[in-house]
Amino acid sequence: MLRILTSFQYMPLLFMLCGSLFAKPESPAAPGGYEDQVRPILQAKCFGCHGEQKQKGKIRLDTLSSDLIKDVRSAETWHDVRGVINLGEMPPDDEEDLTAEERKIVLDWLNATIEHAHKVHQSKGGQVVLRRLTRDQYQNTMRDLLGLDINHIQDIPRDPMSPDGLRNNGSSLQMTGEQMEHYIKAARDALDKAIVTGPQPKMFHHTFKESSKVRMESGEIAGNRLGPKVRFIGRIKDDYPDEGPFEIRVKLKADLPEKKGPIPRLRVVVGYRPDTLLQEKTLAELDIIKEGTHEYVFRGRLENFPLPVRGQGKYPGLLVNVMNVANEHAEVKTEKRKDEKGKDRNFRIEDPDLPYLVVESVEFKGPIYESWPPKHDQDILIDSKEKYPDDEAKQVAHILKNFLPKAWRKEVVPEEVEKLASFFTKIRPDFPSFEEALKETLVLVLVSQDFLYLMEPESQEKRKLNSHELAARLSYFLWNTLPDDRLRDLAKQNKLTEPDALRQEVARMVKDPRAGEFIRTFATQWLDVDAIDRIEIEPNIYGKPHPDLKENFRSETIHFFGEILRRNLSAENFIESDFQLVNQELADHYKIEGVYGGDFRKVKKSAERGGVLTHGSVLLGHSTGYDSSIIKRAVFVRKNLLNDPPPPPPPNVPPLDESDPKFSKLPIREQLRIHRDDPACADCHRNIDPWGQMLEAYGATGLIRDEILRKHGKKVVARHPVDSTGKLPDGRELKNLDGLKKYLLTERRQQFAQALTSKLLAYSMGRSLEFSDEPLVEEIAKKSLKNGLRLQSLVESIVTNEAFSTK
Amino acid sequence: MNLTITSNRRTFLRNGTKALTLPFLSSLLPSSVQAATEKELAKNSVRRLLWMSMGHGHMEKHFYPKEGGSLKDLALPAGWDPMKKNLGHVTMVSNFTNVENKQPHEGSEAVLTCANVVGFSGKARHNSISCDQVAAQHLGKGTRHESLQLNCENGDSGNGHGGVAISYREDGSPLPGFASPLEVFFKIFGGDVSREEMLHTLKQRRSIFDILEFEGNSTKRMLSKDDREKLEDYTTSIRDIELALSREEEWIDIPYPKTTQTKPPEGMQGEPEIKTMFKMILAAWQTDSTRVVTYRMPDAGLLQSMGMSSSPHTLSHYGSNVSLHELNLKRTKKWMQLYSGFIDQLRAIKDPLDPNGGTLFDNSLVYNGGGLRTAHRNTNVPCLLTGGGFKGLQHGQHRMAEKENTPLANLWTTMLQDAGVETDRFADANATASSIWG
Repeated sequence: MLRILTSFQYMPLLFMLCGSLFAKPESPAAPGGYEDQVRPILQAKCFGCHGEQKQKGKIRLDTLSSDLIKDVRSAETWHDVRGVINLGEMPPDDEEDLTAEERKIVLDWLNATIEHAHKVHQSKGGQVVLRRLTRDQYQNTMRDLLGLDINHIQDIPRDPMSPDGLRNNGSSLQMTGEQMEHYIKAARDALDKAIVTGPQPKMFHHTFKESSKVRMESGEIAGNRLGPKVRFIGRIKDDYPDEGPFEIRVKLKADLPEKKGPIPRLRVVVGYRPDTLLQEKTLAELDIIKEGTHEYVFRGRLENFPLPVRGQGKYPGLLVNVMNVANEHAEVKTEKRKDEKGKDRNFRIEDPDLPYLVVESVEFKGPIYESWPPKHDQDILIDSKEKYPDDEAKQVAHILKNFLPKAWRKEVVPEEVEKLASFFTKIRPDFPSFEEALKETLVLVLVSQDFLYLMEPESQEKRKLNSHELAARLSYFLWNTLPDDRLRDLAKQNKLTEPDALRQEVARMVKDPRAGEFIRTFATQWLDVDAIDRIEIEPNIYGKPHPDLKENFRSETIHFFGEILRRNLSAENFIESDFQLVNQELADHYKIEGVYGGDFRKVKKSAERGGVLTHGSVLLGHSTGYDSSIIKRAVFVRKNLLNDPPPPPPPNVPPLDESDPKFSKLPIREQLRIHRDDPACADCHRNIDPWGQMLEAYGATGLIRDEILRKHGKKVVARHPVDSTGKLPDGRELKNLDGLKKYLLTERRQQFAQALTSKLLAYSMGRSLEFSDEPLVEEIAKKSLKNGLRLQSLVESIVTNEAFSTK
Repeated sequence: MNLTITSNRRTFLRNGTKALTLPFLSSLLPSSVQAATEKELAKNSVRRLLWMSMGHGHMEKHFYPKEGGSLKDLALPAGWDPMKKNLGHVTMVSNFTNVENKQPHEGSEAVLTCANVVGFSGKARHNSISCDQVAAQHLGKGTRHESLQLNCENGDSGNGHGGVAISYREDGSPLPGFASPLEVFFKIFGGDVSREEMLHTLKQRRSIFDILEFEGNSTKRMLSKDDREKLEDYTTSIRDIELALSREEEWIDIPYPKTTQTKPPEGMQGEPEIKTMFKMILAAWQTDSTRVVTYRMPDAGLLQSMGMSSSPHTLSHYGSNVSLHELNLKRTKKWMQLYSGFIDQLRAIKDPLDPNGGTLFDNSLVYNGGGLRTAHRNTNVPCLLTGGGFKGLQHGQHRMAEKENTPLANLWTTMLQDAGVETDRFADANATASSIWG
């Protein structure tokens, strides 16, 4: 019965009756079995105190409606009933308890019915709920619209996560007065930069041939030859700009060790401000593969870097640091020699096995404007001044006609332009210049609902999206930003509605670097990559972790997703793959040899890897940092890979351990067995734990382990052998992770395909899926399975299905 | 003495008052007025309310006394050590539960509203008015700010707070407030701008909202019910700013209080951040900028500033991990140390509006606690009270409500009533809490 919860197998018949997508959505019947199975049990064990005669705690169950959809009050009460039965608080100790079988029947019915009622109550009739731009979308949209690559979201609060683990769900995205104030401020700040006044600011130009001498507390020294703990520093004391685009040119050559392999990695870091959290910031990182001397050019905007307040603090000036991070964590070798005074001192000596970088010069130029006024100013003001000299109102109207459709992602009617233009005229006397009043008018554009929300008006009924709305939906899905010129042109010509045109666009968009936004966002949310941020690695068990380990775990999973999407590989690779993506540091961690450099690349997988279940992000994120976590990993498999999440834990669950020191020494598997023996825990855990047991061979840091260590502090208090076997609820016995992967790819292939399809579909539209979406999910997944579950093709199917282009 | 200002443009302030009574720093007033004001005040002593939530709770063995009685006589757990000198000025109350809170991870979201946030309403989450906002409606009329909400950086979930705020408006929408002491500083002391500049800015800012509000209302007609609800958020947020602007306008002739305090720096985190926020609360009361404050304290930030790399959520799963137990104790002690320091200051600072020369402590009602007891238990939540505003409460005791799971709303009802808010019951309260000390 529990399976009714989320699996779709039971649903299709019901939906065939629903007819077309535009029919009024109907929800399937609630799970049955109350009258003939559940009620008799309650009658025997509960109604005595909660029935006609007595209503202890003012709870009466015999008259409580079993229709949780019509009767919301009853739903609340049943919810509480589930809680107390789950915890074993009811029936109370002095009354006859439920048998295991009875508990199972009652709880299965409650779980299924409550879940079902929740879904029905929260149904939005299969419509997308008005979506505010997410924090990321706002950043990208402002950047692309204004051509200003600066941080626009400093003060914008983070978005909440919806119950399905996504952050772009319209229902969950809120707006408050304070948030609105932040949007106003962000718009003002951005427009102050975008629209310039006055003459072109003076450009500063500095060239450094020798590193400035700076004492560093980190034990690093300054120099031109970049070995371990050496950096090249160019320090500009006063003559530097505070904002605007700058360029850094680094001329250097690689000096490789005789033994082939290690390659240097250049990192350019800008700024230094010790009084803030972010002391310095990386501008760029690059593996240096070319031999000989070359010049490398990097660009950025100074606003994005931590600069000291002028005239304050102990460390004034703009610092440009050039480092070789291939040697970042290498040991500094020294030998004792006599210095010129005859004293014994440690002198650094070169390690011939390390790759070096030799800096010849570092150049700083900024602010750099190819033209004045700069392009971002020109893109807004266009030819307004030439076309309508001496007529400010007409200039503004001209500017708005060009700017509005881009900003609002729609076709703009003349009244809208007029309204804004008359706003300009009204406020003009309050502002000292044309530009200032124009900025204020554009602030209005950037805080209006048409900018902050993905407006799809006229939504009383389901309807087809118009082509501009579709273009926006598509670009926010695959790029997390506004449509580019090509998409807007296609929308204008009404060409986007053709499935072939849509497919072409998907192919183009996935190749575009902006798809990196989709890859990062979706992979992170689907596979809960951020879980690693909530876990600390226990150094007493695993040693001190490499400072970049978590970042590398994160990158691994994101690059892995990108590889599968961009090469249109099968999504089955998420379960099992013959390749993996690593950089040198991660390869070192996984004990893979022969990988050099900081860039991620595809390599043949090592024996114990393959698929996301072997990714450090999953294994660490679903551990305790101390040991594996069978429960978290099991929930990951069921929820993230199979879309079959177990019911949430009831509140006030007693923690696993109690205070028995003997208990704490047991392996987690054994602890869980004891936990399962407790009837209060058994019902949930028998369906959860087995799914995580096959991952037991992997410790918290994702490495294979031969034994499970229990330590109190540094002291080993117990050692246990690793046991990766498990028996799934359907009776299947599996030996290890390979067994689980094979099982998932055969017995659960369809379910996995549907789970991934659901998640993509929900993400693509920014709404939770409902009962009425299930046939569609099944249809897309089936079709996709026929052509090998290729990921990019799956994305095409998502985009070309009717729901995606429906409001 | 009543100072009256006719509100010039917007008369739709929620309370509808046209005339405002403005008691504030008496030293700023001319001496003749001062005397009159003080006479006025003697009749009605001022009450100040503060609710603070800390995210995750404490471990049983570190914090919770097993029995009721005098705190000085009880064998208090180790977490209380830093509170030793102030034991006579706090009260711990037990057996209170936020009955409707069904969420084991998110203790603060409903702690002041006592609503079932994840119920069956049809919305993803829904909340109701929090008790501080009820208080603000009654006590906030004569101050520059009806109420102030202090908050912390909202990192990812796992800080034990949940949601984005602890204060909620009547319609259940959140009031996240200010996450940095600097923002609060500006709210209390204003920026360095002249009246003319302020008027000019207000006028400029105002024009945008006129048009936005109009726009919002005209589109709404064409939308589905759910879209309309969403856009309601947007129009409400605009109306809120308008209201705030109106209030600013009405207060424009009343200068911001002067201060010798320096501006707090940006980017503060954890312990220094909390201490500075405490200073801001004291400043807000001292200047009578507001009488109602809530503070959603930075659990994650505190741990970081204490040099702990674990997240609050990791600490809450202490299980039998001895090293996590130690970290929990450290944190509990830190919370108590900070709180004790705050009590010291409350007791040291004179309340400028107290005709009898009392301190801020004498006139305040302060709650410090949260919606989670320990780990993921949300029954019998931690409640520490301080301040002399509780009627008939003699501090220095651990008092236990007779019944387990007594609604937390009872405590809120008592705090509201004692502060002079005319209310019968707040949320799901079934009695007042004062019976346990009355």
